Amino acid sequence: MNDKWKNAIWAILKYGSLIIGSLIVVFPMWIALINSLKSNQAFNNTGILQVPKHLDWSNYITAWNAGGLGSAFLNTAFIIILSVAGNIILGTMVAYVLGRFQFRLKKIIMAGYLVVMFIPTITTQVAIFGVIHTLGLFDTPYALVLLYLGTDVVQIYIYMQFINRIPVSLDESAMLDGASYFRIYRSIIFPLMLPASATVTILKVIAIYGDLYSPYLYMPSTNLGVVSTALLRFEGPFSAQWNLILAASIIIAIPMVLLYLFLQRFIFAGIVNGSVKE
Amino acid sequence: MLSYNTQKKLLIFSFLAIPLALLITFSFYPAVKLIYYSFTSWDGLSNNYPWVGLSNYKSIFTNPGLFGAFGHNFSYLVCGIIQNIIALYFAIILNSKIKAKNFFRSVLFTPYILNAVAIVFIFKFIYLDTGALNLLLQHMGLGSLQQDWIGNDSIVNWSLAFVSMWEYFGFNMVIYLAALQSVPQEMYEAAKIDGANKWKTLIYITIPNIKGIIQINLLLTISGALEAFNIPFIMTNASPPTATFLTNTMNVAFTFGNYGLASAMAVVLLVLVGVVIFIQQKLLGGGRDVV
Amino acid sequence: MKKWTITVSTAGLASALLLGGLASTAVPTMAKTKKTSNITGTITVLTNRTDMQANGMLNQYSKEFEKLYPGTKVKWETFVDNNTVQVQMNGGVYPDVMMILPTITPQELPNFFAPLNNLGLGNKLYFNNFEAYQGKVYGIATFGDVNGIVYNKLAFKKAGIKSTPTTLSQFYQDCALLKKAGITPIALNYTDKWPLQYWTDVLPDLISQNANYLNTMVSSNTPFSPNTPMGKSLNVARTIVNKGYAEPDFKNTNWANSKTMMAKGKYAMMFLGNWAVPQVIADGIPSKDVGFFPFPASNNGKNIAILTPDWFLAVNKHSKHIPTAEAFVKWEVTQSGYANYAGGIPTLKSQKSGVPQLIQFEKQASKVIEGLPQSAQWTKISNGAQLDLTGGGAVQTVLTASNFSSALNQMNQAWANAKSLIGN
Repeated sequence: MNDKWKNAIWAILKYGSLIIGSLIVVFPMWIALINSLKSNQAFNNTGILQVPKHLDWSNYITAWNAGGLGSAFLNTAFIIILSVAGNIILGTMVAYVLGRFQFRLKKIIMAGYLVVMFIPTITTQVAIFGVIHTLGLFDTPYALVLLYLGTDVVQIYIYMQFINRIPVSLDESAMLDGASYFRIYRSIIFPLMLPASATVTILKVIAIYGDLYSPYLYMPSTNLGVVSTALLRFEGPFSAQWNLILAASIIIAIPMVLLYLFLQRFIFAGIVNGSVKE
Repeated sequence: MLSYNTQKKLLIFSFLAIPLALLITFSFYPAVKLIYYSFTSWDGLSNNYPWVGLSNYKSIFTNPGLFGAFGHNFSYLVCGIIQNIIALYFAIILNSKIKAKNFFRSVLFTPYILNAVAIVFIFKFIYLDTGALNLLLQHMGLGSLQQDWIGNDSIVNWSLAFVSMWEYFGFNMVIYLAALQSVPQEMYEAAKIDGANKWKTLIYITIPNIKGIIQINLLLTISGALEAFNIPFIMTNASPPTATFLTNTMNVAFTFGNYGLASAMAVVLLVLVGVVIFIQQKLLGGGRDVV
Repeated sequence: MKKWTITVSTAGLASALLLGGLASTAVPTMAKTKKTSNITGTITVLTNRTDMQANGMLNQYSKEFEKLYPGTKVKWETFVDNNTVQVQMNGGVYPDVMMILPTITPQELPNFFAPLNNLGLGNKLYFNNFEAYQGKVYGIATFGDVNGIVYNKLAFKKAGIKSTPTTLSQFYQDCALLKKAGITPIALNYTDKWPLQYWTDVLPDLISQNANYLNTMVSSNTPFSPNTPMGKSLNVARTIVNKGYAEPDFKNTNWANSKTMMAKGKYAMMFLGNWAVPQVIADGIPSKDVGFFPFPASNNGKNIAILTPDWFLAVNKHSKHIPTAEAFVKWEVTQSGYANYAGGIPTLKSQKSGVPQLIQFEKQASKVIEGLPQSAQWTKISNGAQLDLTGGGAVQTVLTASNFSSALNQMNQAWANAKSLIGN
């Protein structure tokens, strides 16, 4: 009897807090959604919490056209595909070397990656800009690709945890078959780390997708606009029209939600397997 | 074929060459430049880099207007810690036997995948004095709790820090969840046999087993809190009551034309993050490398 | 320190304010007769008008220019903030036609920009000596503004106000009337920050009736004391907030929203420049219902107004197409009709403004004076003191300070400190 009560209270607590948490998460998104679907008139005349009687999609069309979102999506996709692909290759390479070999500089390299994570990059842009300009990449998407290419400590952490779970015996048997280290990386390590790469992908895409400052600085041409800069540019002239801004915000959220739904099973598998303690 | 020893050397070199070149070019070299600028009074544009020694550092610690902004970062720090507690709590719940696990997990993770700028816009809308939050409170009969969420100086930084919490707790949660799932099941069974209750299991088995992950999550959260920039920048244009140390740094560099002083501020910030993380490591113990 | 040439020309200005033909008045086009062979290629132009990007006006301008100079192409870049532009300038890559950032000192102008003396405009322009160094002109203002109060006439009527205020005490009385009528008397646009700049870089001049007032601050250790023109103008802003005359949630406001609210009659006044008039009208209120009057800064009803420049255009000295960039600057200032579109006063003295509200304004102003640039010394001290007096930051600080007089004291201290460090 006592145990039953305890379990019941525990269950109420569990589901209760999950529901409250979910409501807090959903509330702002719900408000944004319903208000983005109101015409100017409906927006002015109905309460913010009320669902519009008639769904008006015109804000989405206006936001898409006036915000130049079409080309912004293409530019963003181009940058993301190139940099994430490169990033995964480099990240797995670093993880393979750090995870499988012992050598002198290993500790220093890891510490190096850790330290740079704490540099507020916005303050070092003058020097970085000099590099990008010297390389002749200013005002091209490749400037951003190069900046996003490098791996970072969180990625290395995810990959390292994962590679430690791949039995070394696999490497050894491949070596018995005469495989080179490069071949081991290419045919064993890289494919087996794909779930971790799914995690890395989503984290990296989120970071690139939300980056505001670098696109402004390195690709000022308006026709090179990316999604987050398009949204900020859009806000200036339209900041009085909340229904439009909310519509633009939602349009921008959609591709990420789709990507997330697609990668979801890999991500959680990746993180789960990737963070096993040694 | 080359011997494995030669191969090893070759592979380490060739695999690390590009990543390390990127690391040095885009992280270390700019950091060294930053430190150099911090000893000058460079204005950010001219070809003069007048050497001023430590005077920039002195003025940071003697000008309350500059250092005082850390008071605003404090809200982000507190909310960051709460964010981790909530994240861990939900991770523990989602790790237990529960219905609709995937649904809840996905919902709670969603804010993290939304565009950061879009999130700030949405909250700007919700925080309006006639906005959704105040209306909701009124409808719930909690009208007395209505606030000027952005206009009230003693609340505004908490309103902003909440946005950060809302955005990032899902990320922490998923990382904790992953760590929890990797705690060996046998340990829990052994504890059950010993008659340990849920609370004791949490304190003596769960927490110690995921200490490393807690450290990493806190590390990210704390450095994020001390370096808060985007949310105050987009939401309130970093007005005085919401200016953080980093928004002040950018202001000093680009409004007041003192890149040297701004660089010194960035160096101080970097050192401070290091110190806080060192203290955190000492307090939580563990001693082992986080990476 | 370089002395700025002081030119106070009331007569010429008065005629500039008179209503001219709407849209761009006919200007003798030199372009057609001039050799245009070296005016070719693609140039990029920096603009702060994101709204004109959104409504297609900028594209229209490109097309007009390209038609006039076949073989050219104009691309626009939008200005985001000082940071990005300054980092790009520092790296040596920036648009061919630039806006001159307020942080650039006169000595630095030759490092970045090409002199514009050979455009043959010289004294035909207002503000010709603002962005100049050692006799060379590096910047031409897009247009000029007089600063004053834009207001909704219907809101005034509803509150029972018969004529616009001419003294500060009348102004406060009218604010009280408006508030009683349920209308927000005056919008400050606190969050945008830049709309607050006029309280520190124009109002002190108006109160002291001296266009050179700001530059005289460098000889004082206490230019922020309550009895100084600066202290007084900050006090006006502070009083507006304390008495509840500003927007109800004044810390969460912006200009784009305020102009809509003004068009709707919910906000009555804003202290800005004449450029604001057409923008309020564009938000859906007939032109006859929008008015513009000089800030009632005086106690005797005689209020002056000061003509100040908007953004300055400059030509990137590293540009591959300097002649094209120069032609564009000249075209934008003299032929494009931008000044009228923007509701400004054309920089070319022979052109007239197309904003009818300026007639009313001119009748009410006792005189209009051409403004003066801030001296390098003034800029050095205010930067050293970290007081943002030209961008609105200082006003934000004063409006949010818990104690007004201690806020002024702190500013005095910061000013005196910076002054002693920099030396005279």
